[in-house]
Amino acid sequence: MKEDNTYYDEMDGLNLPGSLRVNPFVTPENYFENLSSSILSQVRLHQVSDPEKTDFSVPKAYFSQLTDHIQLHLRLAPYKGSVGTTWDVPKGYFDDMSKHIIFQVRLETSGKQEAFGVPMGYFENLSERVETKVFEEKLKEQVSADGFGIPVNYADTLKHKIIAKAIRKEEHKTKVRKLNFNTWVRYAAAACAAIVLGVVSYNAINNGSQANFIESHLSSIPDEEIINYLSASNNSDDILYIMEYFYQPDESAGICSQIEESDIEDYLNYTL
Amino acid sequence: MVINHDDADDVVQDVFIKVWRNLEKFREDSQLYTWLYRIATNECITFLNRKKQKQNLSLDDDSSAYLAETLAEGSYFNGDQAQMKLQQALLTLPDKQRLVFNMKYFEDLKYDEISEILGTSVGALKASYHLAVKKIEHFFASHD
Repeated sequence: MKEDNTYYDEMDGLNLPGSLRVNPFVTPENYFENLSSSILSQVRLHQVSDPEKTDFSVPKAYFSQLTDHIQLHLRLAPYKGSVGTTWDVPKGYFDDMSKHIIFQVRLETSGKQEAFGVPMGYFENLSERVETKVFEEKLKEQVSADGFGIPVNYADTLKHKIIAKAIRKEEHKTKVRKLNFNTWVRYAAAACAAIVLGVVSYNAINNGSQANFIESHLSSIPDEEIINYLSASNNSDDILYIMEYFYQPDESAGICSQIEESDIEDYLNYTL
Repeated sequence: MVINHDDADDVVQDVFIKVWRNLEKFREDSQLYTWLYRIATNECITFLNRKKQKQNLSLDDDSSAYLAETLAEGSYFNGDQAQMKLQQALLTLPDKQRLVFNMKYFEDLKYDEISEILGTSVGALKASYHLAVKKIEHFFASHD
């Protein structure tokens, strides 16, 4: 049987069978319809991505620090085995634990003190202070200024007033004259004071010595001698004189107060 | 502090004359503003004491009667009724306490600044201010 498209069918030079002329390759569905869009997206992707960037990248300065990293790991390698991964407890921990707990509790309860002290009566007066503060705030909302005004152009005239007042004060300033004491005046004053003191003290000493002189002479004479002398001097003038200046103590009743009147009368009759 | 404008004018002039005379003695251990303010407050207190002496009042007495009269007659007080009432309340305070209140309330100075000006401790100033506010509160309550 003759096959189609064989070289036997008047096709001189064309020696392929008809079955071989059929394209054995197939394309996916809608391939050609989506072909343009896929090509364009590939183009865009190519434009966006860095042509030099590869999938695998190396951090910056990796190779420069690499030797240091390797040396560090080599140094740490011997210690890796010694570091325990389990939790260790110090020696004797559980034996002393109860004591430690009791000590901590005592420390917290007994040594606890307020870091900041409160003034005396603070809480008692607190409400009053708060009320006062509230009143102050309300007052400030109502009255913020003192209400006093300044006359117009006050500052301009003030300067002239001050200058005028200053000049007036300078004119009325009382002149103070300093007393110029020379040195000799001081010496003279000191000498005068010394003289006065000397005279006063001399007089005082002198008067004292005279009285002492009289008293010392009389005290040396015995009383009996004085009485005998007085009785011997039978001069009525002397007696009167002595009686007049005779010392009478305050408690005495008077001269001859203890002598009887009859004796006095006899004496007077005898002498006169 | 002195209420009357003419008195205030006199005090201001005296203050500036004093400042001009004693400027060389200013030691710069405080700010110029503080020094000026201190002179002004001292002059005010001195002026009020002198007024009391002229009126044969004790220095412990407040100047309320004289100053209240001045306030009522003053032509440079243009405040409203509330401000007038507050000024009347202030006149019942002692001069120094009134001074502290004025500095804190109207001029909004800090306690540290007031302490530097008046030479009083901050604690004393706070106590004085607190008492002043209480007295004003009582005044407002009693004069409502």
